[in-house]
Amino acid sequence: MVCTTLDITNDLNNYSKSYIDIGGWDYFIIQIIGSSGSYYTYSSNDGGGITGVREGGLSPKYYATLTNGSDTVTVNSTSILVAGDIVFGAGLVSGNDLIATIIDDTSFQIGSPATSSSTYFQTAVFIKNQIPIQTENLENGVFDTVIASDGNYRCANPANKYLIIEADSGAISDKILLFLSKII
Amino acid sequence: MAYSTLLDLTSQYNTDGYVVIDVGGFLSGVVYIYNGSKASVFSSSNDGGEELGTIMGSALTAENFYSTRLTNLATGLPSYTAVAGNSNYKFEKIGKYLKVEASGILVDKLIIQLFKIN
Repeated sequence: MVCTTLDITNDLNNYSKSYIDIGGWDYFIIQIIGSSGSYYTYSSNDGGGITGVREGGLSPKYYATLTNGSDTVTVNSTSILVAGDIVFGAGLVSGNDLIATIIDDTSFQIGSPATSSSTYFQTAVFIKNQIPIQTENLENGVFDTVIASDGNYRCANPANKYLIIEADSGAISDKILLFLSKII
Repeated sequence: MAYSTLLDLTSQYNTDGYVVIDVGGFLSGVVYIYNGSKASVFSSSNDGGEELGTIMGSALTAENFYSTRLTNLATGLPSYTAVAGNSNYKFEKIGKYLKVEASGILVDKLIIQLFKIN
């Protein structure tokens, strides 16, 4: 057996969404601690890969610094992003000063630090076509696609490669820990 | 190949009224309680109490436990409370840390078997 624990608190508290590649794991346990809202579980096998263009799923994390909060970035694309679709403000240098999060094929999220020289990072996500999946409350054995209270929630033998957890807008938790385990 | 180990936690349970063990990496296990003076309660957590740069998470620092149902091997029924007296409760696919507790309890034996496939 091999196991690991992922702390996804920051993702859900700040972005209300977390994507995890659970391919190869036999089961997972989500633990919600000190929550102020509900969470919703989904899965997908569609990593959003495009033959000859890109691999799907989750990319490596991008690290960058936005040196001036007033600098701007313009995204002109309404389809799959290609070179030239992103225009940088005068104070920004591509690959050095910019942090941008790819939400899907057509949308970008630009970091906007409250102070200068703040460092931001995010993971590019291409996963799409998610479908709700149920988890089992370990306290009472109830299955649901919604997690509405603190506790431990299990999903055994997850059917899909990617797990997506969404939170109510503005929901904040003290901790959200994902335990993954598999037989080797 | 299958592997199992036995943890005799009797002394610790009688002294402290609780035990916490790391079951991460194990497929399943059985909590064996013999002649317990009162009911025990099961809970689990993924939170090892880690603090960046200060504490590495472990069973000693684990916190934020939530009730977790185990299966009574005598009845087949799930429950997060073990009856007083003699009982066997099986668990599988729970959180990383398992806690068994009952303030002031005295048991003749608390032995937990952990099982995994390598």
